[in-house]
Amino acid sequence: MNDLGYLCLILTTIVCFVGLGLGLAALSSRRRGLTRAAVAAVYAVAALAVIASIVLVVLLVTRDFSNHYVYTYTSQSLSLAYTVSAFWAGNAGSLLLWLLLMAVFSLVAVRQIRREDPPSAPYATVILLAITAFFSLLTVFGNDSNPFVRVPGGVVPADGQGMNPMLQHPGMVIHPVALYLGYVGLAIPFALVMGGLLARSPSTAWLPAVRRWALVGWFFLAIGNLVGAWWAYVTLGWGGYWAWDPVENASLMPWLTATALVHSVVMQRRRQMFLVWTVILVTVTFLLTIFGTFLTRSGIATSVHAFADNTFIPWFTFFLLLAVIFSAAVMVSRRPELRSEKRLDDPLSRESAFLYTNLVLVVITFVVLWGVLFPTIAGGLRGAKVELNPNFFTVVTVPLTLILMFLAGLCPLLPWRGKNRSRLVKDAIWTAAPAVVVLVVLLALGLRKPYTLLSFTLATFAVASIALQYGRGWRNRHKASGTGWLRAFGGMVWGNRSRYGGFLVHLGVIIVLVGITGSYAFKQIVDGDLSKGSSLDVGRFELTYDGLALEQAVDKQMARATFTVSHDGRVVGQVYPVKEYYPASDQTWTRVDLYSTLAGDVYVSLLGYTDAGSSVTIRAEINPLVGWLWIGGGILVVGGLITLWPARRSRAGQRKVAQAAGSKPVSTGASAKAGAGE
Amino acid sequence: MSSRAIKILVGAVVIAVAVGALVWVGVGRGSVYYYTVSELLAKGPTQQARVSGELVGGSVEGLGTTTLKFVLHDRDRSDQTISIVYNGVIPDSFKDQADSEVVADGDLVAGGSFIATVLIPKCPSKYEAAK
Repeated sequence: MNDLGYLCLILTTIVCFVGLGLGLAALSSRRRGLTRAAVAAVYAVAALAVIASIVLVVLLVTRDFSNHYVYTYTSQSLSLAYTVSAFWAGNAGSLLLWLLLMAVFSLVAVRQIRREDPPSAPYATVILLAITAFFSLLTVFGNDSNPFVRVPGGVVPADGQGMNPMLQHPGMVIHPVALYLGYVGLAIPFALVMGGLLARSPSTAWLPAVRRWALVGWFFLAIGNLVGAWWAYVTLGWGGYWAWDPVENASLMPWLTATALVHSVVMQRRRQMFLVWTVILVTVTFLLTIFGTFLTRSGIATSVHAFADNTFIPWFTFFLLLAVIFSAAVMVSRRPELRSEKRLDDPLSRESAFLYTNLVLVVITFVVLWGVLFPTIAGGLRGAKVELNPNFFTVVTVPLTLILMFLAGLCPLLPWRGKNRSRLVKDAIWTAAPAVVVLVVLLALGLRKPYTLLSFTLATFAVASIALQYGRGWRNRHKASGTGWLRAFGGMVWGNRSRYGGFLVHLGVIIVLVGITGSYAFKQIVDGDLSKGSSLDVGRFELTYDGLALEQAVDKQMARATFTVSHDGRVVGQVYPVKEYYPASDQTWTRVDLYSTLAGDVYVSLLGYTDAGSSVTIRAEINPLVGWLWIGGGILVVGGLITLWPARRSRAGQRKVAQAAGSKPVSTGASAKAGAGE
Repeated sequence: MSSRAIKILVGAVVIAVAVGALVWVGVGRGSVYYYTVSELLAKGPTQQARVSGELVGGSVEGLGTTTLKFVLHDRDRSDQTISIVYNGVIPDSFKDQADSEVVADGDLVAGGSFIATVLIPKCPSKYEAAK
């Protein structure tokens, strides 16, 4: 089995390069047969990557410890679900996942672009094969990146080392997969845009495919980041969900530029503007995904998340340079095609608001990138060993994010092209009024922190603005269609999915930002030593220590404390923080437990205990509004799904209509405006 | 220059200055400098420093509580030592093992103690098995 898997990887690499050669030959000779052969290579690469992945799954599920990867990440006692998820628990397996997704996505994208914009398909095919070739080369030649290596010595161990207990969590099953779906999804628009430019196709031909992939990539990257935050919050036990760690930043940056990208695609679709923005953002997003993958694996940045393998450094440097030079050359050579037909008419138009949003998103990306690279730059220039702690990131990102929140509220109120501004003043009053009420109430309650006040006020403004759009659309639909209110609502949302799904995404992001604001502004921490039966006050909650249970399991020793949680004197629940010790690996794990309410979480860690539990030392935190991060995330997912839902007509039907009309299907969307920064 | 070009130029300059100022303030508040134990002792009281050294055997007090005290010695000169007081959740990877490497962020106060707010025990990555 090991050999079969490795053989597949080698064949994948060979077929990639053969396909690349055929594709390049096809571009110079314009022979259709060669193009078809290159496309066949895409199919073969996908098939080989699928077989290699199946082999790894079989090795994992049968717990074949003759395989070094299986030996390192699983054990006999590991549950089936986590045994399968061990596929992406390590460097080598996660690279194979990258390769698998890239190969399958390439196949789908090639089929799509051959249908929708045939002239650019041969170029896109070559670019996709080149990206896949790079990753398949890594799996074959990287130091620690082939998952089909046998255990050294030839003796098959009886049991594996097992998975790190912290990774045995549903969050860690979803987080890496979502992140890779996002990363790989955002590589496809790059190939499509570059292909379209090289073939000199009109942007209307390739834009629909670019839009879909950009949304898919954006969507999964959002899920990946949110699930990662959730996992960190409930397992790492430091009471936070985002540490501005280089690896976290690496997955935030392409998400920010992808957010800008989906906005500029809207502008391009509706107003034939922002083409240069679209092209540059596609490129920058792609480069950032590669940079992110690189940062996670190179060991350059010290991080809890990283896999360290510095043999990757030259590979990635070469690939990034190649991608920069290639995309710059394409853009320069296609300058005439990149000119937008239209100019911004007015600084107070919807179009200008999109431009401001994109500018702010790009600026946030730039400052975060600066923060990530600063230690390297400062080290190189001044020889100083210096790092930036989270203070830097909060100082720079908070004001910029507040501007984004303001724009999210303002943008839907502004008329397209700045024409017909009669409603603007009235709408502004309607949406600003609730925001002012919230501000006054918070001031009356004694809140004086300017950023916190601004954040809640602007969030109210943005939510009111979204509600106004929904309300007005609903009423008009009800009047115009003569159907009932409920039907009218469904019809409205479904009839314009990108607009109303987009607004829902905005709502989700605003709610996430409210959660972030609350958890930073009002966090409380109390440490205490408690003997049995005694209590500790944490905000309006009270924790009573009931006892400690010591348990001995096969692989670990556990101390599990029980606390009764009371709120204003009334018992509301119990929490069970645990301290675990794994003798085999000499690892301790302080497992927090939390009691969640919409107002906040009571987050309890068991730090130590004496004499089998006669007294314990705990840290209890109140983390206000953290639950809203996950609620906002859920709304974002629903909104994203509505936006992404394919058109009602079947593809075949759509094609027939398009052919009959002699043109591309007309897009139905309006403003799908999404996103804001961390 | 057309009035449009002037407007764009002015806008770009304003944005650049604002972002530059933000980054400037951020770097000022967020910079943490690295020192070895002997470098930090030579420098004297310092705020927002990161010191790295090795644990002096038998110096650890307060495991299992929220106040951890220990002594670090310089990697190369074991006579150079600094005592560290850390308040907070002790990282699970912190082990009472002589000469294991520890990195701490915090302030060196007058009197020679280092008040740490962040503790980073150097250990094999949690995500890759030790080689």
